Amino acid sequence: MTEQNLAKVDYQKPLDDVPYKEVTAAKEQYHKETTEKLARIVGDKNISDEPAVLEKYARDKGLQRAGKPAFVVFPEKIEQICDLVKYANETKLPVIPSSSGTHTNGATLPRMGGLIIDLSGWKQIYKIDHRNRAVRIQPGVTYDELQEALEKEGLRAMIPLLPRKDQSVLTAHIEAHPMLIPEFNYSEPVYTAEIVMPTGTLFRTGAAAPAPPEQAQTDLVGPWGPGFDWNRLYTRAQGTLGIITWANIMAEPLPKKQKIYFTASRSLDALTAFTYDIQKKWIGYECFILNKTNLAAIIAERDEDIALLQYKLPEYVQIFCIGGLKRFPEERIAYQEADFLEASQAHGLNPLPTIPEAPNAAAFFEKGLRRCWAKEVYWKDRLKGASADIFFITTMNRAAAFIAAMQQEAAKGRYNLQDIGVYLQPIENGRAAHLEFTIAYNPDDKHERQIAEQLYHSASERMYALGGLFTRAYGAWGSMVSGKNAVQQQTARMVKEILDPNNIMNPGKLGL
Amino acid sequence: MSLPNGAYQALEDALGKEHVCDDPSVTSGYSYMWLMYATHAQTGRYRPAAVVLPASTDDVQTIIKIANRYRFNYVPVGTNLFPPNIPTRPDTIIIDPKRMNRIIEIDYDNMYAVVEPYVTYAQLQAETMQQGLTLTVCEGGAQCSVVANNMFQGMGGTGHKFGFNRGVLGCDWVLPNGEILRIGSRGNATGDWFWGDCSGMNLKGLLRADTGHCGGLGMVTTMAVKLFPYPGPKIFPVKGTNPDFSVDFPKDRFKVNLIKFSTREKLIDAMYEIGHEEIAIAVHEEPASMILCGDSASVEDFWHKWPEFSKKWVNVLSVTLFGFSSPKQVTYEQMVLDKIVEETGGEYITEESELWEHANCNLGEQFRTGMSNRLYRIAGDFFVMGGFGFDSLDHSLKMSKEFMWPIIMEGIEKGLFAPDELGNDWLNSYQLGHFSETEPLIYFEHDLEAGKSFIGGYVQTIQEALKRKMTPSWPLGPMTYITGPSMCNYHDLVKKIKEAVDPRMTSNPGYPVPPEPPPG
Repeated sequence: MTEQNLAKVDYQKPLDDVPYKEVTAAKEQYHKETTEKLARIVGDKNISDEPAVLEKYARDKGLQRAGKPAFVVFPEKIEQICDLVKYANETKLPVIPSSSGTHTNGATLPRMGGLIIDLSGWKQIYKIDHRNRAVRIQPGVTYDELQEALEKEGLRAMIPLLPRKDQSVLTAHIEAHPMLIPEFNYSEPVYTAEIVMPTGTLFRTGAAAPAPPEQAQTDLVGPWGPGFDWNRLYTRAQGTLGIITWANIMAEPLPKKQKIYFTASRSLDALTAFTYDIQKKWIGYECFILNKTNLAAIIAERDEDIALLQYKLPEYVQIFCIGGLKRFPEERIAYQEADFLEASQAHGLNPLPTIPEAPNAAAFFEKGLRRCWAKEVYWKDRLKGASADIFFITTMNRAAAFIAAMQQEAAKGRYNLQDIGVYLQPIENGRAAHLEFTIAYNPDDKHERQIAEQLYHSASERMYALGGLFTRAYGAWGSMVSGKNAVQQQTARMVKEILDPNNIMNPGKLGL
Repeated sequence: MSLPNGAYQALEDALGKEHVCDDPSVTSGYSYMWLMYATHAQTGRYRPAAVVLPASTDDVQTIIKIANRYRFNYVPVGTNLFPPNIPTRPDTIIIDPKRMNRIIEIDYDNMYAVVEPYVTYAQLQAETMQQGLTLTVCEGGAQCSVVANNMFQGMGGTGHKFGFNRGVLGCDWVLPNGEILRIGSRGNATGDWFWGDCSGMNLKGLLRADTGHCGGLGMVTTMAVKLFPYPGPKIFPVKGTNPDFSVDFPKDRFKVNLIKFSTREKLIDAMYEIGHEEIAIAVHEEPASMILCGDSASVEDFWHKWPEFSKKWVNVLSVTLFGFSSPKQVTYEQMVLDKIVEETGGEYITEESELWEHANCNLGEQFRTGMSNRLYRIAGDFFVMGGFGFDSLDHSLKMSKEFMWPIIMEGIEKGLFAPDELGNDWLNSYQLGHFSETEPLIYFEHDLEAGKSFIGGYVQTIQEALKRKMTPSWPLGPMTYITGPSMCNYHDLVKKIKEAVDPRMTSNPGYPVPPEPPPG
């Protein structure tokens, strides 16, 4: 029998503890040293640990758990970001990049404290390359800023449905927000990017890899490689694999003329069948479907008109825009319009140039398709003051089943069905679709918020169980998807450990 | 060239005797590869130890687990066209998916097909056309594996509209540890095929890149691929026999245009404008040698026609219009194209001309290619001298003129490559002209000196591109050690991922990057 190793613990002897005041002093010292070190990197004026400032970054407009950072920095140069990341590696300080002014999905909420690197002030549009239909931008450039610059050159960027004024274009592209135009050839709109890797070194994707832009003899539009598909790996990564400092993205020809049609139906299936058909004809630009809740929130001129408009509007409306380009714009519109209208007849639908119940819709979307939401209160928040979105990828022919399931969940949770917004965005000529539910709630009413929160979680689980593909796995969705796919999770962890050995980049996200 | 004790028996027990073979008369067939004879062929050193024929994903998992247990190497292949399929180490087996040739599903509404690795483009396209769908067929030929080509690059004649490297949706991927990684919607709760991006971290990014991992990270056993609308006849409308065949698509929906330009620069300008107007489905600069290959019954026939033909076929752009929507689309696009041709100083080759006759099979080549096979006619072997450096149309032209053709001319002057002094490439527009790559074709005999000159020239194009800070040609396997240090040291990251996914480095060991740089 081997000798037993008894625990040699003297329960009588007090622990050799450090006096508490020394603990406090050490904490203060750590904070002071970290502040000094960070300030040396970015300059005194570009760092903050003011409680009021930190509080701004501790919450977002969604339903995700709050989480406070220890510091916020506003670097001015790429080298500073590299140094910050290197320092974070030395001290295991979590780093969370942030570029948009408003956040909704919890992607920038620190899970373990740490350092917010705020790049919303990085507003340079480096180059508009008309010949190659490209524009290279920094992370802080917003849609209105970019569209204005591009329109002068006869171009436009891909844009989601009425983004917030402070939405970073780069984030929308890297996080793969659904864009309004389902054209296959626009649907992976990032050409190349520069990344500060989690170790603090610089990396460039695709044709940018051989040299920095100022030296490169490429046009920075080849998106593949080097070695792996880094653009795809970094898409929807929520800053867990590095910090993107610029991206060269698609800038498409701005139509010389355009014509918008609204097709209403009580049946979503009728509209999706029609949408499949016209997408297979490869015609038109913007194409999407809204239910009356979302449509009312968008086109009501005054907040108090929303309820009545919601009552009057048809159940679902497809919005479809045809555009004419540089040569023969009228002729392009004419043939596409004729084919569009012919298809609508085959489906027993009646597209109109406006919505009879809301005649201002035509004028609104004429410009609104390429711009941010202009009013103070965001359109999703107009109904009740706040909102939360559930979104995932599916196919159009399954959308009705998901909506029915959502309605069942809402009924179970005693949530008013009429308050749920539905947005169906075809992707890649209708090959797939982004389906988004908006749950409106009054943020000042605790009970209402609780109901919304419960619905958000129960409906997310239900949508996942039904086959919804949560490619943008924000907040609790990260654990939801990773907990059910062991090999994916194991492989993702392996990649994360290789690229980010100290797990400093936005730890706790993506279910990692 | 033999497996460790017990391994062969284990493979036979798992797959059945008839599906495992180590007979040299069979395995030798897997040791030859076009282009590689200069370094590999005829030595017998690279004959696989055995060839195994799995019938399912389960079988592939079992083979890989047996390989891990008995510690031998394996190379997963598709239809076996490409050099990385040749074993580079002893104790290596080939996993040949000949029995995995099923089309599992075609979804018309959502435009995808689910296929196993031995399904060819010809096989799949014949079925999809029945349903009003098609896909971009790889230029390696319609006999190629759909899965293998999509793993490698997913390139094809109609890439101007149907994209490049965009074909992959859901996949089942057997990793080197024998586990199945389900990519995209395959990994969701209901295991669907319709989408390729993953929930959470998008591991589709590891599946492939500029060249794919060439079986270096396991084997994809089932893949959903993208299909596209096709408003044409249900049966591929070919008339005649090779080489005198043509493809008889309805004229109101399909229109090929051949346009001559005085300079390549003007041709490129026209390609840009076509992209900006978002017209056409296929847009290529077509080199004379390639067109005449397609139109020649024999090597003698080719060289008989070449002197006259090569004087006339210079700087020719092929533009194919396609009426997805209706015949009205073709009418409109032709009007726009006419305007572009007028503005850029192009001149149409008319359908009545002799030149047109030579290019009659052009349209078929773009939709269901077989052209690559015909390119062997001139000299016995061919490839492209560099190329595949993806960036803009301007970048393609610059590479071609600045260093690719000067390198080719050296080989021609030494008598190693077939003479062609025109300097035209097969230069391609992808995704409405957003990107491009170019392929300067060279033809040479099965001759060690010519082969070495080609490989040396190919490597030289990589070095020249890097020197100029341009995007180099595909750096396959060991060439990654040339490109990596000049391209953000990506080879280090690729190697780390290879080591983590395949710690014994036994899944096609030299790919995507070998453990060590090659000597010299």
